[in-house]
Amino acid sequence: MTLNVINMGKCINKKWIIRDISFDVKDGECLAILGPSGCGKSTTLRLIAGLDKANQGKIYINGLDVTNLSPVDRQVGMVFQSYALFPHLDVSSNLSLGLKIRGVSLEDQTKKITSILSIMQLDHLSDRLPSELSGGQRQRVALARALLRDAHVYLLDEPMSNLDAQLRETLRPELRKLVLNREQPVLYVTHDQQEAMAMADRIAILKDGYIEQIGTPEELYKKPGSIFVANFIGRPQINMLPISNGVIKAIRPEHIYIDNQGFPCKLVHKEWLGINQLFFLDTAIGPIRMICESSVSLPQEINISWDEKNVHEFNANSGKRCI
Amino acid sequence: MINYILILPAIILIGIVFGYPIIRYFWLSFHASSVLTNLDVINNNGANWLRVIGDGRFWQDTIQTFRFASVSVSLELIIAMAIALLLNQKFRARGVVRALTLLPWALPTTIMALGWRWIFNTPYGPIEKIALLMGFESINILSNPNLAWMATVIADIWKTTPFITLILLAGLQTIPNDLYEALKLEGGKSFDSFIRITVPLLRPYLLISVLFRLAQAFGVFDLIQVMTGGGPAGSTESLGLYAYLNAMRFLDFGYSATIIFFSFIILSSFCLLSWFLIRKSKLILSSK
Repeated sequence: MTLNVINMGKCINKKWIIRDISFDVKDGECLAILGPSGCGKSTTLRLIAGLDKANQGKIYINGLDVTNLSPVDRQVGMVFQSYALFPHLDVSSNLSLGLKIRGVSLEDQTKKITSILSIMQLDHLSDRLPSELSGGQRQRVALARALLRDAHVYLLDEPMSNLDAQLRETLRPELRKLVLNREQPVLYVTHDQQEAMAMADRIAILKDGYIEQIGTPEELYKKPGSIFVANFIGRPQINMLPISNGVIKAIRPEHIYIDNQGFPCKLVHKEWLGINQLFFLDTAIGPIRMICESSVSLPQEINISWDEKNVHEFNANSGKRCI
Repeated sequence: MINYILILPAIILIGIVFGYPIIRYFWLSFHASSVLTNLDVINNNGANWLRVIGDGRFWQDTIQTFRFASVSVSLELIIAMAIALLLNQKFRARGVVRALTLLPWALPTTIMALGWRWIFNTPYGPIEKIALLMGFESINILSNPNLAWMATVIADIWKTTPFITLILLAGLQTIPNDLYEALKLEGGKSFDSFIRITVPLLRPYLLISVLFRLAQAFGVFDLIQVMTGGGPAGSTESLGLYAYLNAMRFLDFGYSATIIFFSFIILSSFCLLSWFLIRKSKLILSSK
């Protein structure tokens, strides 16, 4: 199963929310749509789900043009950011409502729900109301509901954003096991670059309604196509060096090292992060961030250097990568 | 402890303006206090209560009050639900329309009751004129015992539907839109959304509306007094009006107190029932 989006755009009040969005997601592939808030991530998802109509472009699910189909006919399984569980129905009724509406026989309903409840390890919670569940459990119910849809494509709208940081990390492998690596393409919207890199096979970076760059996490990290992507991907943030001859050079904090032959700088501040530490340095060319092993202890005055092969160069006017 | 101290002023106030009169009515209902006793209060060993049980006018008024309350409140609920659903849609000048919708409720009852009395007036009211123009015979609504109560129901609906609309609209706004979208993705039509999401999630708001309105409608007085004065032939007379007439026209305070206390029992059992139902649906309220 596949998802193809060609030149999709949405215009509200003469203003383009997203425009010329094109991407393909293969079967079993997870594409993350990553971007700051307001960049059109959720709009992209809603257009594919059919909750909003696209003003431009085409959407194909499994080769079928669904651009003008109603949401139900597109057969998408969606997990809402809020999970959108029906607050007055217990877990099993939340799951069965869609089946009931689509006229699935009572026998099949029971069979499907029993099986999904056990896959999702929700058996013991089947008669709980959503308000009686924890955040992680609610997320599982929402996933279960999407999976019951027998969808051709799964759309996940910030499925982790309601969970605390620790739970997010523990749930990632679980989410991957349950939803990803199936035969359906998965579209995963998030504003968290770390989550996108962890979950997705490829990432589409969205900025102001346009796709800035699309590629594997590694491509985005190693060859960011623009200053925006370079800043967005990779933590701690990349160092932007001053413009010279219309070119902005950038170097990642992890590629800077201490070198007595290098140029001098002053240690301003440090953040000890456990696995390593982040140094904030003051140099003649502005502030620079540097990552070091956690055991290193530095004097106030040091000299640093980096290898030319690790430097990214961007056109100062367009913000695009040179070469 | 501090919490009890803090609500004490409210309890005292309610005790003074509500508790004391009710206890006083209860006490008075076992006494005669009328012109015949020179308005002295004399124990009559429950004669008022025996009289109430055999009083045909009291029971007729009880039935009329129930009929008035149940018909108007249920019609109001249906109409208010429809209006609330409309007002919850996005359209131009929605704020203005919402404000206008509240207007009938903001009018003093006596003023609007007078207006409706003229609307239903024979021979000068517009309804009568239209009926005559269309070739019907004179309807004479307010003089017809079978029709007059419906006229009061119509006036009551016009006046208090906005109140329910307001409550239901507030309720509708608490329902997150993505629930509807989730159901849409599952194949739900608008009717499914209404039955599966809107109605169950509005249940607490519906019950609060019913509770408020039943209590109000059951005690209806001013609307009836101004529109029909309880006539024709007592067909629109409510319990509240009957109690008022006994006290103020017949100066029979003992019997009036009996009627008031009796209606109080009926009314509070209604309120208790509604409260019980609301409590049961609290889970829904708290799950958002």
